[in-house]
Amino acid sequence: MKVMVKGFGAVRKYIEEKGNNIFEVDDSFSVRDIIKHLKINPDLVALVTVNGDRVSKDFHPRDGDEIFLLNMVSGG
Amino acid sequence: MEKAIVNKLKKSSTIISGPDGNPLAVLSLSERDRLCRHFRLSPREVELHSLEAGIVPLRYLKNIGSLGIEGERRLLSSKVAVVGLGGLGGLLVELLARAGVGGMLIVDGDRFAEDNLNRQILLHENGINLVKARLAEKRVRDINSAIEVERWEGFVSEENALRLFSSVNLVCDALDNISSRLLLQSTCEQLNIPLVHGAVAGFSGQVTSIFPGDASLSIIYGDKGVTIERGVEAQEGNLPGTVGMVASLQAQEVIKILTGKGAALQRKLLVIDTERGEIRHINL
Repeated sequence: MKVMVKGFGAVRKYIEEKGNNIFEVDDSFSVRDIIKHLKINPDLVALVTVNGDRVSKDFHPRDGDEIFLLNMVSGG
Repeated sequence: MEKAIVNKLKKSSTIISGPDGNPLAVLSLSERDRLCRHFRLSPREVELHSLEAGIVPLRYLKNIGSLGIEGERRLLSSKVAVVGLGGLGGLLVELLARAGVGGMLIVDGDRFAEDNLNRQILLHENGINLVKARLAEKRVRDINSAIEVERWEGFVSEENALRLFSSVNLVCDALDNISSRLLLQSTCEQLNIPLVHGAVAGFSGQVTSIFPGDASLSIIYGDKGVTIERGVEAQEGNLPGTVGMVASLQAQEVIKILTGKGAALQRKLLVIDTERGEIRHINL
């Protein structure tokens, strides 16, 4: 399946390094698998949305879904 | 006494054209101070009497079109804790003092360091090594002498948190580490008061308002399961513009919650990525 992966801050930079934000991944992949596949440090991802809805990292996206990964921020 | 104050307030006020074009009675700072001396009341007490009588302290005139006299009175009657007096907390203190939040508890056990200069509005070059809470207290008093400000030169801990915040209506989370943020959340939960959260890293930041029962920080940071203390700010640092945006959004949340105006970001995380100029809401 093909999914679009977006992110903010440091997470976005990981994605941008791939040169494209649409990725062909195995149909069985969860969001957690996709994060691993893209070699994104999982500790950097605080929240995930799929097509705008917040989901857990164990959620299984479908072909054409937009996955958004929010970076973990805690500075003040 | 009450009647005497109202009569004196009326005599001391000036009529101007208000934000809606109708006549509005206003009270200048010098007249306020004269009434403080006359009735032996604090500036906050005189301003509260003034607002209750429908007379606007002139310093708040530009708030009134948005907040109304009752909204301003609610701000001035409230007490807010600002926890963490770094980038976010320093600006929050400044904005809330100007808005007229009448009681403030400011909390930080740290001193200013040279690398704070890029973003911490309370710090000037001659303030390096000074105690953050003391400079913050001075800043509040310099901006608005009606604010009753208390400072706590220490860090929030499980031992002191409940006692520290027992007298406040709302807490602002302007901290810089995850475990202390979670402690603030559980304390506010026990005290049944709202918590306004803000966090930044590099070009990005986030804001949400947490009411008892929401436990939004546990959703964001994964409750006690989180094994890291900091987010990506450890690598990306904190830029002044992002800090200013997030602190300003937090100040707006405080004002909305205390006055009942608008809609707070409850169970909604507003996230910004200023490097791309993007803003999103994530439902929590």
